[in-house]
Formats: sequence, C-alpha cells, structure tokens
Amino acid sequence: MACEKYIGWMTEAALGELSPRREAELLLHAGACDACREAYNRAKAIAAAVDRGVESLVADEPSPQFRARLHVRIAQEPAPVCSTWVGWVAAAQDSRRLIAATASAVALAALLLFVIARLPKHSNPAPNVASRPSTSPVAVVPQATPQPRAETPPELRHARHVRHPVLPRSPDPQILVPPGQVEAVLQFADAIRAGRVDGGQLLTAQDRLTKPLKIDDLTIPPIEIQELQVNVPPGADENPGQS
Amino acid sequence: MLNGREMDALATSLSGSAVRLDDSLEREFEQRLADCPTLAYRVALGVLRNTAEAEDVAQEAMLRAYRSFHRLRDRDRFRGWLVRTAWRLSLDRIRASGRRERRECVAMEGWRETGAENAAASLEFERHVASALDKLPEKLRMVMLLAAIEGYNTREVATLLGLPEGTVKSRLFHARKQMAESLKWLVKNTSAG
Repeated sequence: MACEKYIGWMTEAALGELSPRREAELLLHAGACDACREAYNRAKAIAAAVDRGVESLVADEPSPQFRARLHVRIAQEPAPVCSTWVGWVAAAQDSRRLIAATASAVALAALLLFVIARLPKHSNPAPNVASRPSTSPVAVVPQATPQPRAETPPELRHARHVRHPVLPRSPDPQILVPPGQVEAVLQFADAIRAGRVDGGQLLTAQDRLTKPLKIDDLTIPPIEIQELQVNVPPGADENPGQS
Repeated sequence: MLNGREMDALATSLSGSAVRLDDSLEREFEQRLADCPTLAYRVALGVLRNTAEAEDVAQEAMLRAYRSFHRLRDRDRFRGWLVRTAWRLSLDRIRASGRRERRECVAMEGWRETGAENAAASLEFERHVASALDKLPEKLRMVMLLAAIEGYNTREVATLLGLPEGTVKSRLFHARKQMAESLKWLVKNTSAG
C-alpha cells in the first residue's frame, strides 16, 4: 500500500516538481524498498532521456551559408518606410522624436488652415486666355475702339487670387474668354477681320443698347360710354299676358 | 555574432538602397541579426526536423521581422515575436505539405521494427522523442522546445512567450510528464536489455 503511494510520486520527483517534504519521504522509503528505489531511478532516467532527446532535436547550428544568404535576401528587400502614423509612433521612442513629430503635425495643420483660408469661397474656373495668332498682320478686334473699363462682375472678382500661368507677352490685344467659348470668339474675330461682320455697326448698336431706356408715364384716357338708345316699335309696349 | 567583415558587407549592401530603415532602427536590427537567426532556426528545426527547411523558415521569419521591425513598439519583445513567427511558419509548412503525418508514420514504423534491441541507438532514440513531442498539444510542445533551446530557463521562456512564469512552469511539467509516460517503455527496455 505504501509503495503504491510512492509510485504515484515518482514522475514528479524525477522531474523535480515534488515538494521537499514529500521528496524526503520518498527517498527515505526508497532507501528501504528495492522495487521503489529501482522505479525511482528509472523515472529519473526517463526524465533525463526526455530532456536530452528534446535538446538534441534543437541543438543544431545553421549552416555557414545561412547568414550570407540571409544578408543577401535582406539587401534585396524593398525598403520598409515609416509611412503610417503607427510607424511614427513606433519610431518616436524618445521624447525628442515625439516632440519633433508633434511640432511637424502642428505646423502641417497650420499650413493647411492658411491655404484653406486663402482659397476662394466660390469655385470659379480661371478663364482661358485666347490671343490672336501673332502672324496676323492686322489687329481687328477691340483695339479700334477701346472699351471703357467695366466693373468686374462679382463672380469674377475672385479670379485675381488665382495664380495664372505666365504667358509670353504679345503685341496683339488679348481678351479673357470664359471656358468653352474660345472657339466661338476666334471665329467672331475672323469674321470681323474678313469683313463678314461690320464692327462699327456692332459698336453703334452697342451704344444704342447701352443708352438708358426712357419710359414715359402711362396715361390712360377715361372711357366714354354713350347712352344706350333702344328703338321700340309701335304697339310693342302692350302686355302679352293680358291677351 | 557577426564578425567585422560580415557587418561591413551587410552595411554596404544595405546602404545601396534609396530609403531604408531609420539609422537607429537599422542598427537595432543589425544587433538582432547577430543572435536571433539561430533562435529562429532552432525553433523551426524543432518542428520540422529538417535542416534545409528549417533554414528556409528561419530566413523567412527574419525577413518578415525586417519588414515589420519599424512597427514593433516594444523591441524587447522582438525575440518572442520571432519565435512565434518561426513556429507559425513551420506549422504552415507542415500543413501545406502534409509531412507531419508522413513523419509520424515513419517514426511509428521504426518504433515497431526496432523494438528494444536498437532503441539505445541515438538516431532511433531521437526519432522516438520526436514522435512523442509531436503528440503533445501545441502549447505544451512550444514550451518544451523553447525550454530545450533556452536551457530550461522558465523565466526566459515566459518572457519570450509573454506568459506568467508559473504558467510556463506548469506547462513544462505537464509536457515532460506526458513525454516521460510515452517513453517509459523505451527506458525500461533499455535497462532490461
């Protein structure tokens, strides 16, 4: 009966997991019991064999070419870049990096706000600039009669904030053309140059159109209503109900 | 450890790229390159038991580590991350090839054929140990292998796996106990023979 109890302790004792009190008791018993002593020694041999066997499975070293191949493969890897905010946070291990990262973020936000404040509130596409080809010998369009400078329409006032590409200066007059009307304006200019359209007449008509329209007061004469005259035939005034 | 020549070669090869890891990260990773590949190799070898495949897996694990190194917040956990990666890659490779079943069959055949006479032979002995190891649940097996790699230092294994030391001790005890039960007949026959 006592041996059965100690046999149950053998594996734990061999693995060094038995409490010191129990281990002392087991050893005391094994000193007097040949069977338990043999079982205890065998359990210890098994435990040692297991440890030795597992160690031997992983005791190998990689081949000498292993590291060289690894270095080559790492060198061939596409470069990992700290592009995400996670990467920034991970990279900001020390406080100086964290401060620099925070300052950069604040500066970027301020720049963004400045740019947004400078942007026009209404989206107004920049008008195209159409110029007559420089090879044309005669300047036909508006240079003949300079127009008075009209006030800029409200929707075009923001256009001065838009940065236009710098075009080479041309001696010919240039006009601003709304987007999509370049072809029509060029055709109109060609028509004036070819004489198909009389520019002077157009300007006269424009002058007429620009004059303020005079509207006289509306006077409505009273309507005369003549007295109604009825011609009654003789004898028609008798009462027909009395007949 | 990398010697000076290897370090120079590595630095040269890395400096040729347009954008690499940050300098400090690069240095940190080079330090990991000194000892970690062997750890990854041994973990893979413990699972695969094939040196060529273990080297492939260890290299893949190191490459993944290189790609993700800048995202690793706690660099002290690099070894644990690498161990788990190597372990997972090894298991994936076994599953992909169906080699585990085949390997177990080979081990069992050897078990039956050799019996007690040649059990003391180291090759056969290793085969039996490997077979017993494969039968362990994955959690116990990992602890058992890492303990063997780290010289049965439960604290280091606990650090590697991010587990309480008591948990590692308990798992290690159960793993060794189950393996001892599996291999009991082997030692008995050996002593009898």
